[in-house]
Amino acid sequence: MAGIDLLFLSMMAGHTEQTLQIARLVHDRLADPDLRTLIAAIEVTEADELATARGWLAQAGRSARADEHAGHGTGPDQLARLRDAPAGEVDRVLVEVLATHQKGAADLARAHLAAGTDERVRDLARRIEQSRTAQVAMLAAHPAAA
Amino acid sequence: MRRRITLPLVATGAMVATLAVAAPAQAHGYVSSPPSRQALCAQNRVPDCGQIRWEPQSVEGPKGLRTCHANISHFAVLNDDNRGWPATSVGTTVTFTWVNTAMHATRDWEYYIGNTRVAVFSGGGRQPGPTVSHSVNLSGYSGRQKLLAVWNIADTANAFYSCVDLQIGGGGNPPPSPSPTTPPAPSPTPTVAPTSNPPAGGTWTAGRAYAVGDQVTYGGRTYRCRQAHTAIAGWEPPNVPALWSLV
Repeated sequence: MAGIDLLFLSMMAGHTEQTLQIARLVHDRLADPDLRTLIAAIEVTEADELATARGWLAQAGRSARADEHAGHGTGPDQLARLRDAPAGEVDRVLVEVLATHQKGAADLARAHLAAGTDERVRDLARRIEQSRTAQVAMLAAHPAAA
Repeated sequence: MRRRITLPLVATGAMVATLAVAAPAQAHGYVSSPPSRQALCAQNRVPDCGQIRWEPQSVEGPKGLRTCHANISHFAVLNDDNRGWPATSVGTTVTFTWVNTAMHATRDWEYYIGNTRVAVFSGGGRQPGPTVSHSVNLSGYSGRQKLLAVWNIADTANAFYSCVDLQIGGGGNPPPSPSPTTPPAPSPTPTVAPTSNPPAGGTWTAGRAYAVGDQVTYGGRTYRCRQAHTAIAGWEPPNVPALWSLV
């Protein structure tokens, strides 16, 4: 794998860790059953993707911990909004925060499809681009969307 | 100041020696498309670049420089015009995409050819997303050109630099187009009506809600749903074992 592929995996691992963090903050507090279902499916699929990315990074001798967490998509302020959202507001805040977060993942994946070299990583990027784009559309269509 | 996160290293493998020289301590950004010189190094398309191949996002220096390597000595290869940098063939309007590993609050992005600033985009002091794209009109230029892209940070004295070698207009091949919408396409075309529940063995269909225990066929195989979800592109059964198990 080339450096550009490892950088993408490292960034995406950090981004995915944040998705799981977002999910953990809300999955017991969401009111809408469709949102609960979506979050549960995102949690299990992204946990697998994270394991895949970490495995490839480890094979390359690079730490599985993403080194570029600092700026990833969703800042501490957004996580705090989720954590502090009162019961009636959790769905609305989640839809907003997660849509922005997953759009960031789709954008990163799209950029990697234009620049990446490793076919396995490009295939992962393709699936990330598709699934996150579809999720953003689902969130935008949700009644809790602003 | 942004939180610094160092890169811990697994003490195995041949990469350790290279990475240990200058593990990226702070996150940054670079032009990934059309490929900048550091992207070409990170893609292994230009060999023997040194450390930059592992951290193309790290070309950071004071604002106002006009070099490709931000005057960082161990990135000097980037400023060497005699390294056979392949030029990307482009039309007169070029979309540049930055990949940002940290979303620094941004003053602006500038694009230079020689000493001429050909484009500038305000960042408004805001944090950008993980990627940023700009469409730049280069209709005053033709042939091979070295373009310098600069990301000026709002809240530090620094900027990030990326040189992009272009072959503008006439004669070249079009640039390789990104293919974000190309599906892997191992699937047969779904034909089931979207509102009815899938019969056991129905074809997997994006947009349909599946419950635990539902069975579908995909690519000639049968899968059983193990986690309720609405099917979407990218979540085809063989790609997501957390949602579907092969029967």
